[in-house]
Amino acid sequence: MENEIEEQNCHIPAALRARSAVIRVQRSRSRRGGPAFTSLEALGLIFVLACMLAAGGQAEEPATDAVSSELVALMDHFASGGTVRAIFKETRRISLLADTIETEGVLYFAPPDHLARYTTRPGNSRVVVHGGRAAFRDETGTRAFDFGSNDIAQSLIDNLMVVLRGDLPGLRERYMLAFRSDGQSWLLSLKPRSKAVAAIIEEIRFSGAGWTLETMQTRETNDDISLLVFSGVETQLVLSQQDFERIFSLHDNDATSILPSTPSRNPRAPANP
Amino acid sequence: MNDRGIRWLTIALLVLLGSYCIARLEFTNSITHFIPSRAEAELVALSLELVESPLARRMALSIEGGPESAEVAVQLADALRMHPEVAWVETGLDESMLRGFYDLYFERRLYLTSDHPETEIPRLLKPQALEARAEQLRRRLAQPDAMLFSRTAHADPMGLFERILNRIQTFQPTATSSRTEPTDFAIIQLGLRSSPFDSLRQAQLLGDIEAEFQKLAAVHPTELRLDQNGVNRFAVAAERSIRDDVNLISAISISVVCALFLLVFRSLRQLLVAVLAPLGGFAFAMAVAATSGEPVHGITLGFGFVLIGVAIDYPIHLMNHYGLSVTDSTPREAIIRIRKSLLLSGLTTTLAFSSLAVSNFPGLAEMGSFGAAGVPVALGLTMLCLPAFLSGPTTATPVQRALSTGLARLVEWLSERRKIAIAILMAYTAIAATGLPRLHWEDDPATLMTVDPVLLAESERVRRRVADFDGGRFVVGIASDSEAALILNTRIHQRLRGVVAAGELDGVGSLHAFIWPESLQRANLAAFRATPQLGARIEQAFSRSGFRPGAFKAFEAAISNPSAPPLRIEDIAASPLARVLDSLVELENRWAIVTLLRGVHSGSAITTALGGLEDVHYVDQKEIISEVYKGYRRSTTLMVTVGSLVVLFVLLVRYQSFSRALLAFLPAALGAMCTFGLFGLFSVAVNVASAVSLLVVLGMGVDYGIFAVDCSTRAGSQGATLSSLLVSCVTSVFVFGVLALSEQPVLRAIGLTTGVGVMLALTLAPIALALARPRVPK
Repeated sequence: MENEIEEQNCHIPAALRARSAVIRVQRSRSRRGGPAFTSLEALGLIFVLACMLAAGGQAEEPATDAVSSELVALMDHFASGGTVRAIFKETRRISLLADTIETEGVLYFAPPDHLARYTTRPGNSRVVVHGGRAAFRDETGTRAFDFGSNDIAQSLIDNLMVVLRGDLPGLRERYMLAFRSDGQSWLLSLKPRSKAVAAIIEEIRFSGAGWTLETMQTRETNDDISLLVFSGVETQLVLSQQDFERIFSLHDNDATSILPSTPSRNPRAPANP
Repeated sequence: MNDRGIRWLTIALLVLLGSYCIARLEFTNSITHFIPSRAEAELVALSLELVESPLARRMALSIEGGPESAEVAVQLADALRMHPEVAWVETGLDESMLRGFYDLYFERRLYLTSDHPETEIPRLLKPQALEARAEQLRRRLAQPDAMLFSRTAHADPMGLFERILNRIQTFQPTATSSRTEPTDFAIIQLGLRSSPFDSLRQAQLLGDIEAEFQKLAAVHPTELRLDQNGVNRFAVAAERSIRDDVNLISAISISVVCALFLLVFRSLRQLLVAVLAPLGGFAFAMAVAATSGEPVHGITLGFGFVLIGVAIDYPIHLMNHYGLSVTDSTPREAIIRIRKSLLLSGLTTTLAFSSLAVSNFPGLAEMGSFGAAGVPVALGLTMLCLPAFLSGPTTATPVQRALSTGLARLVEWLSERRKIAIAILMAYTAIAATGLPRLHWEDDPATLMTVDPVLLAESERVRRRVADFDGGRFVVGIASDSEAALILNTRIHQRLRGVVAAGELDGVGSLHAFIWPESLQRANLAAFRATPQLGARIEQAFSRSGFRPGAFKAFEAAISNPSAPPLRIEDIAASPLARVLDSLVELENRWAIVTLLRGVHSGSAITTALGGLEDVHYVDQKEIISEVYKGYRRSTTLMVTVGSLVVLFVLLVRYQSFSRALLAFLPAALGAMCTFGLFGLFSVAVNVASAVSLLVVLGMGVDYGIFAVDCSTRAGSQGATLSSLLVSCVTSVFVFGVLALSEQPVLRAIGLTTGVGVMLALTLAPIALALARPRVPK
């Protein structure tokens, strides 16, 4: 069955509203004020924010669209997925370049707000996002900045996390949703509500089969496209405290820690359908 | 005029003088009053102007304890924006500030590329360097954060904007990225409308901040902590501590002095009469200062209270001699009996203060003039007006009689055993001789104030998070206009970069990170334009890394036709980044530009590096103030010595006898030396306040000596004189000596020096008297 729901006035189920409230609190708590003017870590955001602000105001479309029960179920499943590990392959097409850039690596997610992306080809690099703070490390050096106090930056950086933790209210707050499903495969399309974000991102598409997330495609307004293809997705992972800290540490680890050891999978976790 | 008329006239005069002072007197707290040379005074004045500038008029608040800290910080910031004492509030880099960075710098990236455009820009544009840059850009575009700069890469393939941002990031405190720092904290910075030293307003603000925070934090389940940093906190804490000390000490002093007067004179009226004379002297000295038109320093006024302590001796002598005089004697007759001693005592004390009046420290000179004007007036009031207040019949109290008789017997006993008196003198001399060489002068300004260690630790925690620059050490350059200041700042920055590279300095916070002189900016653009076939070079180098042909046409267009003029101070002033201009201070007809320093390992390395740069100073406030205190202390000690010699000369003239003059001088000189000798022996450090307090010891000690020697030939009045000295000494000890109980080192130094010195001088008075008595044939 194919089902498309866009911009329809519909009441959000009470259970969903309750979850939304919980998630809002979590998001609020994860914000970090960070040092004021003298701490200039957020300068990394200037590039993109300036572009967005130049594109217009920050007025947002109200979240009045309804959601299908299938999407709710999918998100509920993601919410119960626990710690996730997946191999990714990214293909990026950038207008400045004549060819595409391809990268590969491993991605970790621990609910509600820990994300680590380790790239193994070309070169080694890593990105860790946690509590409104992002830390990058590659051969060119390290960069870190706070984005938690900035809604626009947040909506650019932690989209994947919002989906992986099954935060449907959070998604609806930021995006107009379109969900299609044929019973086996599904496609979730996100279009930014904020005009400022929409000046940068045209659409984000998540697709999958059954309960498994397979791709994430981000199309920018300048026709730059990145496609993340996930494979070997494992959920309900159990990480030792030591592994957890190594994987999600915001601090600058040495080169040997870029690729952490493979953690064990929780034997009691249900298999994917 | 009858006594009643004199009484009313005296009170009316005092009221008139007081009213005049209140109406005319202006106060100052400038430390330049206490700086000797003009050059040093200018540097300190500049440093102090900076202390009063917007650079210091700020506070930083840190809220930590949980993820709610950011939310509470935002609410607290909103509340503080409404506060009348708060000029501005910042809680982080909001969109307007980020936009401000972009607007100011992206279009001007070509102007702000290099400090050495003639050499560095051609090097950056060499084919090999361009190819390396192209590879680097491609690697960056492969990173997940590529979206953050891919939009601007076509107009900035060289990453010039990022260079500017990296430079600006030198302002970032190093500790925020430390593993040991907690991460859940939020910072608020705010600007103050008033001086941070305006303790009244600042105490109100600090109270309001605390109350508002408690109100906001109470609704959250986790325990949040508010840490604060600001000069105002220390100013308010110091003022509160001194006030508490003074309140307690005043209460003790007043109670004990009242009890003493009740015990000795059986009358509090006598106390009120006794303070009239020194109060009159104080009011007159203040009126003279007010008439000069110059503002009077607060410390001078404080010194005025010392004057009260010295001048209260005169009424006590009068009242004691009058009380112990024979029946039917009048107060004026009592004055006549002791007038020579009073006049000589007043003259020597005035001379001692006058010696201070010629000091090359304006503040010390002012204090000397103040004393020199006040003492004669207090003496005049004692001799002319006070008898009118004592006109009633009086009889000596039993305590007066007991003291007089007992002390007369003591003198009698000592004069019969001169060897004992001489042995005591030798013992005092030995203490002075052995202790003085061990005396330790403490000139470190930090030791003159007690700072609450908890407050200091809290302040340090916030400072590490906000900007870990050293608050007391910085480099300042002076120039005639703002462009010249920026040119000078570039040179300062270049020199300091060398010091950082040498490991003698951890980092600098310079306005150079934000703005360069226009000439340097234009030189940058010219260096780009001077590169032949730059477009073709970039095309060739970048195409090898897979970039499309013509991808960077926007960069070429920006070089040939920049869309913004060079960055000016006015541009920053009109932007959300205006606060960075706080380090550029407009003074009278000149501009000061301040470079903040982080982790100074060698002040001399900085001074050496800045050598040859005109009007550039490395300011170490602690070192400067320490030098100032040292000079101040030396000058005071010298002036006290000169004053002592002048007093000795006057005594020689008066007594026409070296031995009698020496004996009159003995309590003052030996008392003062023995006091410092004891401090040396017991390792009590002395400071500038101790040196000034020596004047009190000198003034009162000379009084004791003169009265002792003068009465040595009048057997009947020796007991009365010594009991007067005893009451006077105990009064002084309880007026000043109890300051030794204070927690504040300055007050403690005054109290200890005065208390010990005056008591030692008193113990020497009977010895001087005994030795001055004519020898009785056996």
